[in-house]
Formats: sequence, C-alpha cells, structure tokens
Amino acid sequence: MKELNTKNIPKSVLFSSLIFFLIAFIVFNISNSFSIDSKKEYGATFEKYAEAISGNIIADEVARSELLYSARALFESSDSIMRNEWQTYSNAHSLRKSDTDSPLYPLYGLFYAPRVLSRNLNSYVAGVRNDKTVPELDLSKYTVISESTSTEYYPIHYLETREGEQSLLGFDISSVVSVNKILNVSLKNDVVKFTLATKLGMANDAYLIYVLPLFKNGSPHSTAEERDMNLIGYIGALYKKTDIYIHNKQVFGELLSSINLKVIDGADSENGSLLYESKSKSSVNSGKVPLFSVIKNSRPEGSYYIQFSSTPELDALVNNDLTSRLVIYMGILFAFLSAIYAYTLLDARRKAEDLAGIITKDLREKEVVLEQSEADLKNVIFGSNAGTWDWYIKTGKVTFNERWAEILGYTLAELEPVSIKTWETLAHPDDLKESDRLLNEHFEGKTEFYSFDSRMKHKDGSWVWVTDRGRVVEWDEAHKPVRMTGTHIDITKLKEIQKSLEESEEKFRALFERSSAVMLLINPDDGNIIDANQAAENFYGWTISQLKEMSIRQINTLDPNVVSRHMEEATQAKNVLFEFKHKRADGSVRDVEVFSNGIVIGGKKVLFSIISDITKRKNAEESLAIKIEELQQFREAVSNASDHIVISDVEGKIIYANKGAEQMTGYSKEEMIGKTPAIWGGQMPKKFYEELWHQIKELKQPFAGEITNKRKNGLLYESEVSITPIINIEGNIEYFVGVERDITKAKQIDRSKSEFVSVASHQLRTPLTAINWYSEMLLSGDAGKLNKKQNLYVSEVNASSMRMSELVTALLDVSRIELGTFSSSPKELDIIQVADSVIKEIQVNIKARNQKVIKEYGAKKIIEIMDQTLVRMIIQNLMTNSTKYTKEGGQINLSINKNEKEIEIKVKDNGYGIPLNQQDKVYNKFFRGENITQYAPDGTGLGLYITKQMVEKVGGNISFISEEGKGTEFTVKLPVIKE
Amino acid sequence: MEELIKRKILIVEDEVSQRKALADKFARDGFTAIEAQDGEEGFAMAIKEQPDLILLDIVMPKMGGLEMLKKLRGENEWGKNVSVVVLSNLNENDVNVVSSIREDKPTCYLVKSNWAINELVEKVKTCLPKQV
Repeated sequence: MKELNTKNIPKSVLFSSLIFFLIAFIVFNISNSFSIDSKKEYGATFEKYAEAISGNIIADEVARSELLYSARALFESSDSIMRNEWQTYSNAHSLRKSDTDSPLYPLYGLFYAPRVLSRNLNSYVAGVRNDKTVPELDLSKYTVISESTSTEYYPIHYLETREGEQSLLGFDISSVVSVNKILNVSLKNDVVKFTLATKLGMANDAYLIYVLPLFKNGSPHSTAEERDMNLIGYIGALYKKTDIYIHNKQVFGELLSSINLKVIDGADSENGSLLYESKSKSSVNSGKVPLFSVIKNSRPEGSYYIQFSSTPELDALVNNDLTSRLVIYMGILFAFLSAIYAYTLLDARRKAEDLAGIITKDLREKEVVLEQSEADLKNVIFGSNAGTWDWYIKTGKVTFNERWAEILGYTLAELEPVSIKTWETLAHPDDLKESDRLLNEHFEGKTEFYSFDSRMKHKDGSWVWVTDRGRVVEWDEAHKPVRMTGTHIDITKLKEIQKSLEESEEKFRALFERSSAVMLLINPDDGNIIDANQAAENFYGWTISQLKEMSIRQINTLDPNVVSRHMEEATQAKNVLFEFKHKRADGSVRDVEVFSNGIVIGGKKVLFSIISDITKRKNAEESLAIKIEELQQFREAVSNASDHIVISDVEGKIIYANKGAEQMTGYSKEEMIGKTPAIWGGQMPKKFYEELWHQIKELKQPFAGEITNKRKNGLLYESEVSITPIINIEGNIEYFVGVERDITKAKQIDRSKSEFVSVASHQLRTPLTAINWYSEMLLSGDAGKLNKKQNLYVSEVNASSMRMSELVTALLDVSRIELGTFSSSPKELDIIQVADSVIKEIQVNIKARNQKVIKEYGAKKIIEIMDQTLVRMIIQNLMTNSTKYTKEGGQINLSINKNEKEIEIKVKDNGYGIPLNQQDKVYNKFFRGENITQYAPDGTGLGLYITKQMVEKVGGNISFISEEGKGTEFTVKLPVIKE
Repeated sequence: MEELIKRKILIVEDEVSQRKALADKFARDGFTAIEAQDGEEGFAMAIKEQPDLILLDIVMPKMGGLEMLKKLRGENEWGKNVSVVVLSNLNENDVNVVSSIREDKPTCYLVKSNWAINELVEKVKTCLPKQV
C-alpha cells in the first residue's frame, strides 16, 4: 500500500522523444489524493495500458491548457487586443488546415468572450456594429445572442476558426444554463472544459471546449471573490473530436494499420456496435464510477475503439469539474506504445501511477470483464511486438512471453526451462555490468524505472538490440524487491538506422570540414552563419569562430533584404545557383558562385551553401568581351578599308577578301575565296613571282613591291603590294596577309607631271638652241667677219641666250625636285672619274679665267654605289660656283675622300666669299650674294638650293665656311651604302 | 686621197634650223655632213651611207630617235657598233629616256642647249671612232 502526497504539483514541461513520435508531457495542478491499491492482480500489462491512457490524457490536456495560458499572456501583455492581433495569434497556433502534424492540430478555433454587464450591453453592441474590422459580416443587425435576461453576458467577441467560421460572433456563452454553471467553476479554477450543446449551432457533442478566465491586468485572483470581481472575460479553445482522432492517427497510423485495428472516424458510441460495457450508460451520469468500454464499430472493417468516461473524482483529479464525458479517441495500441514514454520526471510518473491506480481499482471489481479484456489485450501485446518478462527476484523464477523468445529467434519452448539465468546467458557479457548497476539503482529506489538498451544473442549468433524496461512491482517488509516486470522491445532496426544516421552525419561532417570547397551552413531566418569550414576561413580571411558570429548579410554586398529574399528562395527550392559578390576580411570583393540547398539538420531547416570564387572567370569573361569588341572593330576596319586586303592559307588559297579587294580586282568575294591571287595576277615576269614566293614562304619575310595586275574586266592596274606571312608560335606560316594599293592613278599623275617637265624643257630649249648656235656661228665669223659693234651686239644675244639655257635647266631641276619626280638609280661608279669629267667639262671656263684646279683625291678610284647624275650635279654645281666667284688667276681645291661611313667632297676657293650677314640665306632659292652680282651677273641663284636638295635626298649633308674676301669652302658628306 | 679620209656624219634632226647649223658647222670642219629629218629617213640613210657617226635627235615625227637607235642596234649588224651621239633637249635623267637609252648604248648623250656649237663639234669629234 502506498500513500500519495497531496501537495500541489507545479506545472512543468517535459519532452521525451522516442522512435516514432514526440509527446509533450506537462503536468498541471492537482489537488486531490487517492490511495492506490495493489495492481498486482491485474498484471503489468494492464498497468502499462492504463499509464498510456493517462499519459495521453494528460499530455493533451496540458497542451490545450498551455495554449489558453499563452493566449491569456497575450492579453496580459497589452491593454487591448485588436482583432487582427487575435487573428495573427490564432493562425500562429495551428489553425491552418495543413498543419496536421502539429500536436495542436485538433484545435479548431480560438475565441474571446468579454464580460459585458447588462447596463453596458447597448454600448457594447453599438461598438461592435461600428467595428469595421469584422470581415464579411453584416453587422447592422448585430446583437448579443442570449436566451435570458442576465446581469452579465459573455458574447463571443473574437472568433478565429480553421474554416473562417464566424457565425458564432455575439453568442453569449453563459446563456446555456449548463455552461453557465460550468463557468462558475472558473471562480475557483482556471481551465474549464465542456462539450457545447447544440445551441452553439454545432454538431452535438462534436466539440470539446476549453475556456480560461481572463482577469484585469495585474489584479489579484486567488480567492473566489477576487476572481469574480476582476473577471473580464474568457478565452476559449474549440476542438473537433474527429480532429483529435486524426491527429493521433497521424502519430500512430502506420502501426494501427499494421494490426488492423482502427478507431472510427468521427464516430461516437451511439454509432458503433458496443462490444463490451462495464456498466450501463446511465451510471455514468451518477458521477460515481468511471466507465471503460471497448466498442466495435458497426462498419465492415471491424475496427475497435476504447471509450473512457470520466467520473467526478477523476475530473477532480485533473483539476476540473467535468460534467461531460471525456472521450478519448485512441487506438488500443496507443496504450502499449506509451510503455516507452520516458517518465523521467517524478511528477509526471506519479500522476500516471495515480491514474493507473484509479482505473485498476475500478476494474478490479469487474474481474470477468477484465479477463475478457485481458485476453484481448494479450493479442494486442503480441501484435505490438513487445516481449514481456515477470521476474521473482529472490527465487530467480522468470516468466517470458512468446514474443520475448521470438525476438531472439527462439520459441519459448526451446528456452525451457527458463530462469533469470536464461537472460544472463543470452545478454551480451559487456552489457551485464551496466545492467546490474542500473538494476541495483532501481532496487535501491534511486530510479523509478529500470531502463537499458542492451544487446542479446540471437539464435543465429547475431546481436539483437532491445530496450529492456521494467520496474519492481512488489516489495517486502524490508523494502527489498520481490517481483519485477518489464518489457523487451526489439530496437535493432532502430539502432541500425541510428548508426547509419550517425555515419552519414559523420560523413557529412568530414566532407564539410575537409573539403577544399568553401562551405557555409546558414540559418535562413536571419542569415546567421551556423558553421563554416576551413576552406571558408582561408577564402574569407575570418576565422571559423569569427564567421560563426557573423551573418551572411555582412558578406554579401547586396542589400540585406534582397539577401533575405534569396535565402527564402533557396530554402524553398532545391539546389539554387546564385552569382554574388562577397566581401572578405581584407576588404576585397570577389565574384562568387553560390550553390545553395535547404537541408534539414536536427529537425531544423538550414541552408547549405557551397561557394566558388569565379572572379578570374568573370574577369576573363569581361576581357574576352572587350577583345571580341576590339576584334569586331578591327574586322570592321579591315572589311571597310579602301586598300585591297586578302588573307590566304599557306598554299595561297584565299580565305578572306575585303570590299577593297572586290572593288580593285572586280571579282566578288565568293569568286575569290578558295582561289589564289593568280586570278588577277600573272602579269609580271615569272622570275618576279618566284622571288616573291621564295621571300614569303622560304625566308618567311614580308615582301613589298610594285606589281602589275589585271582586273576582271581585263584592264591592267598597278599596285603597291605587301605580303606578310603570319607565323605561329611553332614558327610555321599560318597564313599570308596581302595588302594592295592601287597606284595606277598616282603613277599616271607622276608620269604626266614628269612628261610635262620633259616637254616643257624640250620646247623651251629648242628655240634657245637655235639662238645660241646661230649667234655663236655669227661670232665665229661663219657668215663673214662682223664689225666691232656687230660683234658686241651678237655677243650680248649669245650670252643672254646661254644664260637663259642655264636658267631653264636649273628651273627644271628645281621643279623635278619639288614634284618628287627626280628619279635616282644608284649604280656602282667611280666618283673620281665623275669628278674628272666635270672638271674636263668646265675646263673651258677655268682656262678662260686663268684659274688653277688642285685635285686632292684620297685614292685613285673611289668606287661607290650612287646615282651618277646626282653626284655629277653636286660636284658640277660646287665647281661652277667656285669658278664663277673666284677672281681670275684664283685657285680651286677639289678634295674627295672616303671613310667607312661617308664620302667627303670638299670644294675650296680663294674667291670673293659670302658676307657673314648673308650666310644663312645661301641655300634659299634665287639667293645671290650682294658682293658677287657685280662680278657674275648671270647666276641663277638656284645652284646651291638644288645641291642641298640633292645631298639631302640621299641622306647626306652640306656645310660651308666662308669669309668675305678670303674664300669659301663647301663640304658635302654622302653616306656610304653598305652592302 | 683627201676625199677618202673625209669623215661622214649623219645628222638626224627634225628642227631644220638646228640641222642646218650643225651640217654647216661640221662641213666647215671638214666633215661630210648628210642630213635626215626624222627617224625613218635617218635609219634608211644610215644603212645606205654607213656614216662614221650619227648625231641623233630624240623628239621627231614618224620615228623618234630612241626607236631608231633601238632599230639600228637591234636590226643591223653594222648599226650595232656605229658611234651615235644622242643630241636632245630632253634631260638625260628624265625617267623614260634614261632607261631605254642605256640599253641601246649611245656613245654620247648631249643636251643641246647646254652646249655652244663649237664646243659641241669638239665634243662630237671625241666620240668618233679612231681612224684606222
């Protein structure tokens, strides 16, 4: 016999998570005490069954009360609660249809009914009629639905239901007499529970309603008077009974179906066929004894459910005066699965014990009934796969059920004779020690239960994992254990699952930590980094622990709201790929590709992101785009160039031709591609092409030259051509680029320019020649001797004409120089020989002026490649000047020398010299020294200009030293052409 | 005897005044001067008379001097070696003149207006083949 204490046990919460389900287990106030009779007559089996029922009753009761308490807290947190706040709160508590997994799912609706005193009723009604926040209702006719004239009303003010039902707004919950009576209970207790009658317009008995009184904020409410004074209304929760079943079906559905035992959907006792009834229904109302019945449903599936009706005593136990039956729609199996509840809290377990005691006490009186039900229950035990054991500790006598043996691959018969030794033999030797320890703890009263996951040897030699649970059910006078009962549940599969889960988690861990890919685990709600790997530390430059203190919003350069949106997207979808810019510790920003995936870890959804640095790729893409653009521009330029541009392969086959090529040759691109440039070539000597090919293909050198080609229409054209071999890294020719510029016109212009000069010079000279010659012949006396005067006159004619000839020649030279038509064709020549021939040519003049020419040649022959005309003109001009501007009898020194770099020609005289103030004008066109015009009036002033142009044309230079009255020395340096 | 050593000069020149002046001058100097007024006539006369030296103008109607020179050098055995003094008012370094003249090896190239006629005669004398 055992006395239970009577003290109030505070509310507490316990979560115990096991194989398939999770049950919230909270114990609330209890103020009665019951003595519990021995349960031994009814066996451990039924005890557990009772525990299960009570456990569920309590768990659900508590969860429902908790909801109301939290709703009350909502009101306590604020002076007034708006309708939309109530909606938000309600919807947050599993009012959505899809939340069938939630433990609160059976919740159908939440309401708030304020206390309205009759004198305030009119203003209250008026207030509601003006309430624009009530959706879709015609409030013009709103009134509080009440059947009686009361001093106070409790109209439903806010109502949120799963189906949006609001038709009960304004219903006075106290108007139902029985309910009113119930509400009076609230003067003493908190949670009040009842089944609403048809008055509420709902199916009879279909709703279970819990209400909680609401008091003025901060007011005392410990005594009945205080409670009545400060009561301001009620908060209520509606539960659809069918949903209570649906919810439990979610939890146990799979197992229920496996033993073909069903609880009927929405049915109550009237609709089922009663299989067994411990007491007539009428006695329920007497409130003296509880009712326990097993009901078979009338449907063909032959399903069962248990109906358990409360008694006033039981109601008192759970705090409330339950006037209505408490119907528990639970599968029978439910009871046995509850054996695995973790009763680690003393309060919870004691409560269960008490309930079990009450039930068993009542049932003991009905032995016949029990035998029958026990027989049924045994079947259920069998179906539940639990092995049972019953152990007399002192004697070692043990009873196992068939399932106990079956778990280990035996029949019970095979194990006979059984004793505690049977268990010791089959248990894993390594587990025995721990098992002994736990048993002793239990025997010493330190634990309420013995519970141990241990290994047992299977008949086939393998190890089977079982959860071994039990408790001492009988003690002797010395409080030593006499008898202990318990169960074995095969959890091998579970262990395997656990093991593989652990392994896969380990694998994930290893993969995460060691991966060279940057990985982050992110909380999608706030972006906080839950975990980061070494690669992330290396990449970002923050340590792993720093990263764990950060949010991804600090790393992503996007606006935090945008980041949140992306995280939501990634959490909902699977495998999302983003491109972002991520900041690093050193302040740098990298382009990254983020592969995000919502995964579940520890029941929580997190984002698993793999980050790859794509900065290089991005940069490459950008620079490629720029290059492509440049290439495009380049192509455009080539395509539109007026020059003819052709690209050919190594064999000369054309692979590209631009518009210029089309215009120049007259062939279309299509006609050219695949052919060789021979289609417009072939006009030059064979040798030319041989040399060309040798140059570009064998020597791999660019070729440049002038070439005559033939247009499609047969006309010839001249072009300047350059062909460049394009050589790859290996040094092989990839292709040839040929550029041609049509110079036909330019050539024609050049030709006509020089033709003009030729013609002009010829035409001017022809009459001059005649004048020269005939005047000369007259002077020579060819036509008879002239008298003095005649001779003088004709001499003037002759001299002027000669001067005119010189002038024509000089002018023509100047125009040739300036037009650029002066043609130079360097050839090997002996400069000494040229110089000598010039001296010979002007010998007549030298002799006439009685001058002396001194040759100072560095060698007998000075051979150099030069244009003869050019060299001749230079020497001739300088020598003629010296002759002209040196007094009679003067001396002219002509020196010619050659060194490695240049040929130096010096012409020195002791003539009139050039005045210092005029020396800078010497090379000007038509310049003549002021001091010499009197001595030599017939100079053209063009000689030095021409000479300087000539010298510079071949890259040489000319200079002089001169002193008036002393003489002049001109120096010309011409570069040597190196072979 | 004197008659035999009198040397023969063919003057091919379309400009009458110049041709006459030259012919007069060379005759005075003891040459037999024969005249032709264009290339065609000059060529025929050259073949027929086989002079010691030909004074040849370039710009002439019917057949220019350069063409005649080419023909002379190319078509006739005697013409290959005969002394030819190209006497023109075209400049020696005028593009098209230069190239073709050099190929056909004139003995001398003289620009008329640059020469006094006496000097010219002296110059031409230096171009005569040496007397055997």
